[in-house]
Amino acid sequence: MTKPAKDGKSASGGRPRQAARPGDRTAAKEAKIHPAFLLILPLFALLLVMSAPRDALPSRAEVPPKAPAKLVAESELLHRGPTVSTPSVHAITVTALAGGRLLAAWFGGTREGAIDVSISTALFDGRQWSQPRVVLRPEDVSNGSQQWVRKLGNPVLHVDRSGYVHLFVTSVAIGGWATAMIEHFRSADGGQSFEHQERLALSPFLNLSHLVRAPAVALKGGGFILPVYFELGSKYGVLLRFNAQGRFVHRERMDGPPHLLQPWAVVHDERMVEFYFRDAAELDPRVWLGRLDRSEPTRALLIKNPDSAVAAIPSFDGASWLVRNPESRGRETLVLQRMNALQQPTDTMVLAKGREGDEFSYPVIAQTDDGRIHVLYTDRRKAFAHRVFRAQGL
Amino acid sequence: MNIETLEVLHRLLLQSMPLIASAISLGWLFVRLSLRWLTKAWLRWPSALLIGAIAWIPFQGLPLGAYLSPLTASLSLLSLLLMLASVQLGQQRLFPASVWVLLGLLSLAVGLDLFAVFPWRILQWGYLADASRTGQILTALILSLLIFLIALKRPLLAGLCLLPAVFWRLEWSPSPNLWDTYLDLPLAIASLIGLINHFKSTKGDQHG
Repeated sequence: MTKPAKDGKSASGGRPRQAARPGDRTAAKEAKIHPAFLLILPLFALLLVMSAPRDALPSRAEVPPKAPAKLVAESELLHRGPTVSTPSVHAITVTALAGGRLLAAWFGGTREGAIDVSISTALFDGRQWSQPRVVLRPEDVSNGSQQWVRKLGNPVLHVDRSGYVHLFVTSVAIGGWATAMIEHFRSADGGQSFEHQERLALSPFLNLSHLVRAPAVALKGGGFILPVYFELGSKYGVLLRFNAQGRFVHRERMDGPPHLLQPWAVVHDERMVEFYFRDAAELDPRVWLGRLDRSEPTRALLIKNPDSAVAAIPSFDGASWLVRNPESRGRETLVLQRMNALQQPTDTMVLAKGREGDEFSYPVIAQTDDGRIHVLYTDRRKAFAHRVFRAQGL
Repeated sequence: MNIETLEVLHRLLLQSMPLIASAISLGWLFVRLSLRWLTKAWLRWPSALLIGAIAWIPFQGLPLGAYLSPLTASLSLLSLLLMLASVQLGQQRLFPASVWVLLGLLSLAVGLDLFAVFPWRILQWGYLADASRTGQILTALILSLLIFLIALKRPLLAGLCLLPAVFWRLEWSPSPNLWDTYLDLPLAIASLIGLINHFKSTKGDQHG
């Protein structure tokens, strides 16, 4: 070791020594630490990671009742959705409750993306909708999360095995939907009031651009999978896994080209879960289909999709009922189609057909325990339509 | 202390993390900007604490720190610890170039995975649950290498930099993903700046 010269210059060269800085004593102290420390620390890091449990997360889905193969529309009286009190509404979500009831949530305000947008809920008792209640405003989310939120977007409801109602809401602090985050709320009183659980940490880089739209898939064992999507630049589906206690534990990027979003799950059996995707491709957009177990590559179906959300429920023999806008452009028409196991439409019912520029969009579909199939969708951003179907012949 | 109390404390800590992150960022920023005057380490801590406390001052129904949360809430535990360390160490360089290179490359890889450019699911490897064996081994090797490189220059800081992994393993971190506790956007930018600074100083040394 070279000995420093008294005149402030190092013994080996002519360069002046730097003046001692406040932290230098700490650095000198650190330099004396035994070399074994150099091995122990990384070894401890190695052990920390390698000691993590490698139990595979449950992936067997709870199988919902299958929708009938033939459907017939119920009374026209039921075609009105929940009453709304804001000039603009969008993105309704529903979850089936016991006794043929439905709980719905949506966002409404002066317009989509406005700071006065709030989340409202209403209950359908099998015959009519209750008066809507505002359950979340941006300030409620800010207070709950201790993080500033400027506006709210798509909500999603899920009732877990313990009876808790989970509400996932898209929130934005800075920028637009491409910088959105997902807030997790939970209700222990059937959706009357919600308590903030967490803002889901989904990426290390400002936690940007994750949005919700479609309902969760319940898993055997109590957890659930929430399909969400990423849409900053690339667009792709993301699967979020929650354990039986409702805690977020895992994020998984879904396969497919970088223009697929809003995956909607259809559970055919406990190991066979398919996802329909909205396609944001500029050329020839199609509905795409992927599988949870990746047993087949995600593929484009031979049905068009004008970059609009789809919804589906399983039917018998690998078939499903799919709600979608059937044109390659525009959302003026909305249909309910039965897709056979080969993903060919076999039966089509027109739900709405408007004039050019009209919008019937963001459908949701759910089956209640009384066997009825409910389809709800945004009706020109002013209201929600509610169509009810039952098995033909009953 | 029973398990319920620990769980409540854990929940309270996680709920307060956005404000704590804002407070640390404010305190660090103040110390960083006033290093010329705050030459003694013992002076820096009370200043940082005082400025950090601003995060809890209410403004229009929310603590001031909550308004900073779009930038500070996603800061990694490593960033927060490094900020605290730099309050103590002043103007000293925290890491050698090799650490900045590793952090920069890791940020790049996770970023490319996030934007679906990479076929590899690096972000996914960081989860405690359902980790693939390959992912687990690679994650462990990357973390060990990071800690080793830091320990070469600063063994005590290396010990501190292990804390995020300990918190992650004990499920005490705000995110279940290891990378969330080690990477963030400011750190990715800092790795670039750290690298530029290092090469600048190396060049200066060669010609000096």
